[in-house]
Formats: sequence, C-alpha cells, structure tokens
Amino acid sequence: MLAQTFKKPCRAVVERVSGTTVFVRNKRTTSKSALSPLTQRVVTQLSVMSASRKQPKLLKLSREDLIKHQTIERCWSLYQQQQRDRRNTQLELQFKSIQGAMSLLQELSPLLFEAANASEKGKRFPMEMKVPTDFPPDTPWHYHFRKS
Amino acid sequence: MWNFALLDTCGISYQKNVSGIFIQVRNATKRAAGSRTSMKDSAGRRLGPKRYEGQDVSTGEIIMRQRGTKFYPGENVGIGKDHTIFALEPGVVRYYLDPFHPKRKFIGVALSRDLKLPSPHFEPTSRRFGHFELTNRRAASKEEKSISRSDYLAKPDIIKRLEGREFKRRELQKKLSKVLLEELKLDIKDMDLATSYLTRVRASLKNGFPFEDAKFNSKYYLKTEERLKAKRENWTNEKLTESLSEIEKCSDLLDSSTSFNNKLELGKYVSEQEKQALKMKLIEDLEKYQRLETKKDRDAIKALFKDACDVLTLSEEVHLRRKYLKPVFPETDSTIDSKIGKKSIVFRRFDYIKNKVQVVARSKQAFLSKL
Amino acid sequence: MLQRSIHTTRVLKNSDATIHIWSDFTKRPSSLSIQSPKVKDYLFQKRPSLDPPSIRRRSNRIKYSSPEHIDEIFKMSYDFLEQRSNKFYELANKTSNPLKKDVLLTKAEINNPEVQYNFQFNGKLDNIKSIIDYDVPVYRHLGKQHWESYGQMLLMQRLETLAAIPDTLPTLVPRAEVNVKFPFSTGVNKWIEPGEFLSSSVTSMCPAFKVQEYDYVDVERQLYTILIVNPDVPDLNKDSFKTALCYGLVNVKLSYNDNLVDPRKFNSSNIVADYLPPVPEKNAGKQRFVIWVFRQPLAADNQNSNLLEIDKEQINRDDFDVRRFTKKYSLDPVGAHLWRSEWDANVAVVREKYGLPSGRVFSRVRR
Repeated sequence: MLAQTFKKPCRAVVERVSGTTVFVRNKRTTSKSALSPLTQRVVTQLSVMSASRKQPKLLKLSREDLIKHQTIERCWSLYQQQQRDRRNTQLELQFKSIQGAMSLLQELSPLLFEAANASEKGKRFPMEMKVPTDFPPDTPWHYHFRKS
Repeated sequence: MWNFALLDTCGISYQKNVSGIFIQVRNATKRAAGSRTSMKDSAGRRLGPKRYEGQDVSTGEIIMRQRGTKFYPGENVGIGKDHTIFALEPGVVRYYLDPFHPKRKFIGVALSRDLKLPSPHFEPTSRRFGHFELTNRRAASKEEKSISRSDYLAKPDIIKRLEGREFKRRELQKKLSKVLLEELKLDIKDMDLATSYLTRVRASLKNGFPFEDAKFNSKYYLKTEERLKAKRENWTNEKLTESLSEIEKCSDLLDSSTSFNNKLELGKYVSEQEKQALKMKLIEDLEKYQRLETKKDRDAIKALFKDACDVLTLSEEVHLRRKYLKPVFPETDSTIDSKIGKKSIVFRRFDYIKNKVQVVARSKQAFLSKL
Repeated sequence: MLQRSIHTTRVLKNSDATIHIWSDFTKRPSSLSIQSPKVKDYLFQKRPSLDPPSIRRRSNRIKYSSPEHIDEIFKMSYDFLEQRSNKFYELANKTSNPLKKDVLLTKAEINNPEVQYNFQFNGKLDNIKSIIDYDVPVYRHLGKQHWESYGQMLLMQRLETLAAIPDTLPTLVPRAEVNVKFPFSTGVNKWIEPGEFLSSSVTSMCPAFKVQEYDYVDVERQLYTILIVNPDVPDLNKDSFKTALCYGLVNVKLSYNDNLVDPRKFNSSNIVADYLPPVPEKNAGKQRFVIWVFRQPLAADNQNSNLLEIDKEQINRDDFDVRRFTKKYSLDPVGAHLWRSEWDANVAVVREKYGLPSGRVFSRVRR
C-alpha cells in the first residue's frame, strides 16, 4: 500500500519482502534539469567552486538604507561597548572595596583574616552551601532555627 | 622420511627411478639470486660550487650546482630550473647572509671588488648599464628604425586610424571656421589658431574637463607650443610676447563670443545668467502642456526643445524630455477606452492582483507617436 | 565572558529636551549635510512610505522594500549617536590644541549618517567642496582611511618593486596623496596609476599634480616643493646610470581643497627647472620618472618668510643628487608617484619640438 503512494518518477520505493518493508532507492528515471548529465555535472562542480558560495550574500539595500543599516550597527556596537565599560568599572570598584576590607581586616585581626582566607581545598560541597535556586526563598533566613 | 605424496606434488618422479636417486631438474625459469638494494648507485652528479668567494665571473657562468636551494640567488644572480645558480652580471662572487632572511645563505655577484654584499638597504643600488653606443651612423640608423614584429604588424592599422583622426579633425576645423565666419561673423585674423583652440576646447569638454579647465588647458597648450617654437627658431622676446598676446586675444574673443552646446556644437555665446533665465522660461512653457492631446501640442513641445541644447546640460535635457515627451501617457480615464472600438489599440497584460489576463484598450490619444 | 544580559527597555530622553547638534548648521559647515533634499527626506522619513530616491528606475523602486522597522531603530540609533557627538563638541570647544581639536571634531561627526552618505557615494579624488570638504577634519579622516585602504598600499608597492626607493630617496613615510595627470599634451582626462608606462606624446607637456594632505598642517604657511627625477639616464663613463632632474617647482602653496598644481597655481619664480619631457634613447631600457613632493621647513616665527631661495645655476640637472638637495634645503618628503617611459617612435618628434639633440642609439645586446 505504501508502495502505491510512490509512483513512477520517484527514486525511493518501499517494497514488501516477506512481511517487512524495505526501502529501495532506484535510479532516477526522469532528469530534474533539462541539461545533459555531463553538463549538469560540470555546472554543479563549477557552482560548488564559485566564489559566491564562499561568501555571505551581499545585503541588497538601497544606498540610504545601507547608511541606515551602518548607523544602526555602529550605534549597537557603541552601546555594547558602553555597557561593557560600565560593567568593568563596577567590577573594578567591587574588587577594590573587597581588597580594602580585607586589608583592614588583616590589620585589625590577623586571626580572623587567616580564618577568612583558609584554604577550602578538597571541600567540594561545603555544608553551608545553599542549593542554587531561580528565586530567593520567601523566608531568607530562619532566625529561630534549631538543630533538633 | 620422505612423504611420497609430497614428492608427487613437487613434480619429481620417483617411480621411474627405481634405485631411488633423485635427479635434479632445472627449469628455465629458475630465479637468479641477487640483493634487493644493489645496482642502484648512480654516478655522482658533480654538484657543488663551481666558483668560489672572491672569484671573478662573467655573465652566464655557473657558480653553484645544487639539489634544492641550499643557497639562494642573491644580487645579480639567477637560478635555473634545477636550482643552478649563475651570474647575470660580470663581477666578483660573494657568499653572504642577509639579515632580512636570517635562515638563508645567499650567493651574489658584486659589480666590483670593493662593493660589499648585501648592499646597504637604504643606499641607491649599483647597476651596470652594459649597452654601448653605436657610433657607426648607418648601424645606428638601422637600429633606430628597427621595431618589434608586433609593432611592425600593428603599424599600418595605427597609421590608418591616425589618418582617420586627422581627417576628422580637419573636417571639424572646416566646419568650425564656417560657423565662425558665416553664422557668427567674427573678425578673426588667424583662423588656424582659432580653430585649433576651439577643437582642443571641444576635445577637452568631450573628455570630461570642466569648462574653465578646458579653456585653460587649450590656451596653455597653444602657448607652450609657441614658446617652444620661439626657442627653436631663436625668436626675440618681443616677437614671442606678441604672438602670446595674439593667442590670448584670440582665445578671449572666442570665449566671449562663442560657446559649445551640450551636443558640442559651436554657437553664439550664452552667458550663465542668460542660460538660467532661458531655462526657467523653458520650464515655465513646458508646464503649460501637462497633458498632450493633439498633434499641435506635441509639435509645440518639440519646438520648445529645439533650442534647448544651447541652454540645458545634457542630463537636464534628457530629464525634461523624459518628463514632458513620454511615449505612452499614463492610464487615465481619457486615454483608456471603456469599449473596444475600431480605432482603439488593444493589448493584453497579466493582472497580478486578480490573477488573470486583462484586456486593455487605449485610445490613440495615449501614444505620443499616434497623436 | 561577556554575556548578553536582558536589557530593560529604557525610555530614551525626551527628544524635545536634547540638543539636535547634527541638524544645526549655524555653526557647522553645510558640507556635513546631504545636499539632495529628496535623499534627506527619505533618510529621516519626513513623509512615510517614500521610495528610496537612489533607485532610479520606477519598476525597481516598486520592487524594493526596505528592511522591517529599520526607520524606528534608525531614529533611536541616530538620537543615541547624536547625544554622544554632543559631548565631543563640548570637549572640542574647550581645547585649544588644534591637533586634539581635530581628533575630537572627527569623533563628533564620524558617526553622522549624513557625513557617511556624502563620503561613501561621492567622488573622493575630484571632490566637490560643497559635498566633501577636506577642510573639515572628519572628511580628512575618512579620506585618509580610504587612501590607506588601497591607494597608499599600491603606491608603496610600486615604489618598492620598481626600486624608486632607494634609488632616488632612501624611503618614504607617505602622508600626502599625490595624483598625476597630463591634461595639456593629449587632453585626456585620466589620473595615472603609479608605475604606468606612458608614451612620449602623453608626457610631452608638463603634468598637473593633485597633492591631497590629510594630516593637520598649517595651511596658511606651509609651502611645498615638487621634483620629478629620472634615475635611469645612462652614464657611459661609469657604465652605470645617473639621475636627471626633469621638473622642479618650489614654494607652491596648497590648501586642503584647492590643491591641483598646474600652471595656474604658480609662475616662473616657482620653477627651478623647466619641464623636460621624457625622451628615452633607443635600447636604453625603461626609465622611471619619480615625482617627489616635499613639505618645506617652516620658519621659526611667523614674521620670517617661509620661501625657499634656490639658486637655479647651482642645480646640475644632468647629474642631480636628490638626497643632497633634500638635505641641503631640509625638505621633508611626504608623497611620491611615478610613471615609466620607454623609447617609442614619437620620441624623435618630442626631441625636435624641444630643440633637443637627436638621441644616442645603443646596442641592443648588453656587453
């Protein structure tokens, strides 16, 4: 029944052999293009080699739209650069403030500094580590938590 | 111990020899013994340097035979297809290193013994001229006249085209002088000077120079020719200044009384203001004929465009012509026939919106040529 | 490392409150705006549903559709860039250093779509001052970029492969674009490509140079020297070559826009060596004609004249030493160009025209 749906000019035929359907790919009976197979082969080879395959298609824009496109591109890149700079400066500031706090801690109490900087090597999942969730919990801290 | 079956398969007969003595049969195809790698050594290829450092060489002498580029060709030296290095100039062989290519060894030929290789990077290169002057007059003239085969073959065609251009130029000059004398009735002393000036201006305009540049270039050309002539013929200063002022006067006269239109035809001088005024008037006149309905209208517009080439630039004229002399008028109610009559012009076209062929009948008023 | 985070849509500042620096032409030169009103209207969508005027044919215009929502995004981008430019203008007004000011003014206008349109779609070499005005720093910057992208590289390649460097001068740091044409001899309107072979009829009259400066220079005071030298004149005594001076101009004044050096630009006092056309002798090989453009030294103070006094008598045209000449007058080479000439059938005519003796004939084969 399946075989009937594929009629003559089709290459793939499903044959029924002893109860199992087998997919058989036959020779193409009608040529797709008007060219002779030899010419078609040359055309295919040339088109594969042609330069247009190796480069992205040129935007077909009118002059004015090309300028608009360039303006938008430039604006976007500048905007991103701005964002990047802003983030970088913020990170820098954060780093500086942490560094300041740590040096202060080192001055005030070397012991606490040591403890804060203790190596956590081998401690792959520390007990106090929270399971990461998408949102903060409704009750962020159980103040009256007692270990029963 | 002998397995008879085995012997049988070996093809050695045991039944014939009752005594049991084997006779060795040597077949024709017995392989001779030999080593696999022997017989492969060729004679030496006589590689190596043929000229050493500091040795004198003349042009074409082989300096080094090598496999691959053990040495690279340096200055005044060539390399063959088997990487043989040979001298291109007579001089002294130098084996050297070049700091620009630190991994390579070079062989070069220094033109004289006191020159060092590689030659200093920022100094002028030392070159040998090599040719000698032909002092024999006959040999010299023969050599001077000799041309390459391709030039020789191309020469008749070039001369023919040159003559064709000359002829055209003369024709143009005749035409220009006729216009100057008969149409414009100018008082010109030296007609040759005037026409040569005008042809040059015309050529410059045709080549895309702005009008001012075209005028200056032509004038400068004529003046330079005159100066050179004066130098050749040892003119006095007065004579030269006189002839230069003659050119100046002539070109000024022509600039103030003639001008080229957009078809590069010579005509009466039209100043920039006049041109602007005429252009405005022309556009005003054209505005009156928004819709062409009769043959009279068409002829009137064509008459308006008749002298437009003196006033408008070529692009302006083309633009206006396209605007006011459309070959087919836009489809309005008056130019589309609702019923197909005898005189209406019918054509079919595909309507992409309705997806079917549309039959359009247009009256004769819709076509410029059929008004 | 950088991740694209979610941008909260921030309402851009109310456009009424901001300064529209790019549409204000009271202080800015008019060349920073697009000349054609049609194009300008389309760019800023003064009327909706306009067709792009750059597409000439009506059928193509109907076929064309611009990308979706490009106008809204363009408007937003334009406002963003305009705000940025405003800052640069404020900084430029504060600075007094002309070099820094040039840089800031370039930064302020480089993203202006009108400037980009003007520069990208108009003639850069034969510029029209109302569209591309090289007095404006941003156009000079764009011009330099354009030149560096091809013309400068081509020139340096030709100078090096044809060994004009170091046969004439040791090297060149190119700063000014030099272009050459021969408008007087044949009347052909064509800029010469560096290293091109020219026939003797083309070069029979002096060339016109276009020297385009892109750097900041003191235009009012700066003067230029232009030399054409031929390092391939046969020298039979030494069996080598010597350099001849073909043309020499000094004290030429140029500006950013008006920089075509032809006889209208100078008089006889500027000429140190009259033009001698290339007349190569038979079998003397190809000859290079190298054009050098120099900036002349500026006087220390404004009162002194910058004019260079050169004694014409002292110049040995037949055996000219360019290096010594440049050193003596402390000239700064900024640009170069070259063409090549060979013997052709017309050389005899040119020689006769200039009253030169008929040329020597050399053996075809080198000895």
